[in-house]
Amino acid sequence: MWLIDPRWFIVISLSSIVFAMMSSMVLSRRMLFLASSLPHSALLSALLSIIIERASGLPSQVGSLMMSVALISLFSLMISRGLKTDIATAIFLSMTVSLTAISLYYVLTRFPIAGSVWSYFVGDPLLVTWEDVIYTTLISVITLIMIIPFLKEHALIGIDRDFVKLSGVNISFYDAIAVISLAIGIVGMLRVVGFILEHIMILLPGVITASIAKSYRSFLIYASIISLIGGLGGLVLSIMTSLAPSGCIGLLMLSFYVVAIRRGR
Amino acid sequence: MYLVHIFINVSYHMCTMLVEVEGLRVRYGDEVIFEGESFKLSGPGLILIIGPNGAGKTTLMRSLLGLVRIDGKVFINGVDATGRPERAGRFVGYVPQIGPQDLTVPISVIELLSSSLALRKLPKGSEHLREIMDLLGLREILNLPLSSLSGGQRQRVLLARALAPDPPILMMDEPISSIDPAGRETIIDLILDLSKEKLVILSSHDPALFANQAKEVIALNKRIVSMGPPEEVLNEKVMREVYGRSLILIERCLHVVDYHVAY
Repeated sequence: MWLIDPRWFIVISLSSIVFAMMSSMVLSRRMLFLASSLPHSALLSALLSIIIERASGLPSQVGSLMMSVALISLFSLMISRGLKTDIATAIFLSMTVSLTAISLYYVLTRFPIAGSVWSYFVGDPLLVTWEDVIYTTLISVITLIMIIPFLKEHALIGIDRDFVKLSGVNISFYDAIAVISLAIGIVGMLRVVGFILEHIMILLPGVITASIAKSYRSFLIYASIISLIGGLGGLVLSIMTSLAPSGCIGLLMLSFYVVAIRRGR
Repeated sequence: MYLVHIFINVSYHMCTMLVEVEGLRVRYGDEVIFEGESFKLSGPGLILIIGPNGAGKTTLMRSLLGLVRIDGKVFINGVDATGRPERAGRFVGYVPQIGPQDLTVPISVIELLSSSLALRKLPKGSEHLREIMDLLGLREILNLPLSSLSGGQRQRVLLARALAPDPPILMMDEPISSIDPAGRETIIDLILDLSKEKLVILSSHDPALFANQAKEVIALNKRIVSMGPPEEVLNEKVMREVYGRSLILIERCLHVVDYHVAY
């Protein structure tokens, strides 16, 4: 008999849906390069929020959200100044990775919380409290409200940005919504999913379903289903095998991807 | 009589299609193309923009649509559309080049058309849209994903999207380039039919396809080399300056003139 806690399934289900929608938006907007760098900015935000909490008392959950939005705003600023997206992303990635190394070293050597920092890397859905569940639910609702109503517009912008401009739509609004929702979602889910798995979950649900769906509606539905099956299936696998949930989820998503590729041939 | 005269003038102005450009200059880094070009295009009719790859055909179109930062002014039907794509979009239907590489997410034909109409706050079930879909033969492919369509089918979908708001002006960027020879005649016939009622501005790196039917030809090579009726522009001298080779147009085909062989 295994000990089953409903909190595990709640946070994994919520994070699966959130990542499905984020991944769909990332693919729609052709932001794969940026999306792959976002877990790094999330980790940096989380580490900086620990330092800020010690210095000012601001709760790390709030601090990490603020830092994540501030960091992604730097990226948006680079784009608004005319920098090409790939170059801005490369700068953003290099900056966040380097600062993460510095922050991690500082946190590990100054504060006795090595265990808590480790959870940011691999995720700890099996150790969530009811407070964590409430926080994850709040982040999920906010992120989904910022993403779902605008997905069709994101798809149109990704296919033909000029048409959307000619239609009189303010693309800057959708650019801002996209990056801010990603910044909130990716840092909000860090403790649940972990930095390592976020690299997979921000990309694979969308990439897997893009190869099998025939319409945008089915693309979104399949992304949600596959992400849920991967998340919950990986959780059950980790309970059965006593292996890290993030690793089990990642391997399951990878197997789905391989099946999708072979089916597409 | 005076009031009738005014009414006729106003009616004519509402029906004319006019693109006016003053002092067009486009900078790409240190490179400047279209150094201070000024011209007018009026419709209905077909305006053909020709030139080799990199001549500035797409840049010219996007400048007219306000999608590129320019020096100078662009007026569309009297409205200053310089750098204002939302103003240009009120009068112009644009058919860009969209290839499979742009379709990273699956979207069906009906989803693309209905979302595009919703974006422009147009009704999805209008009679006009139904007529366009019948004209372009889209009914049988409505539920297919865009990525599975041939070049010609995709072009027809983009044309339907551009025509849905019934714009007086249509701009098409290399509409034939991605279409196989079997599908080309259909698209060419469609474009020529549309040019009887609308101002159709299209670019092509093959001037032979529309040369005989064009009202005006604009020959580019990072500047306007020549502009005017086809018989004035499509001569050997202009073609040499545009394409770097002596070309002449015979029976909808371009032929290289080899002076060495001729002598």
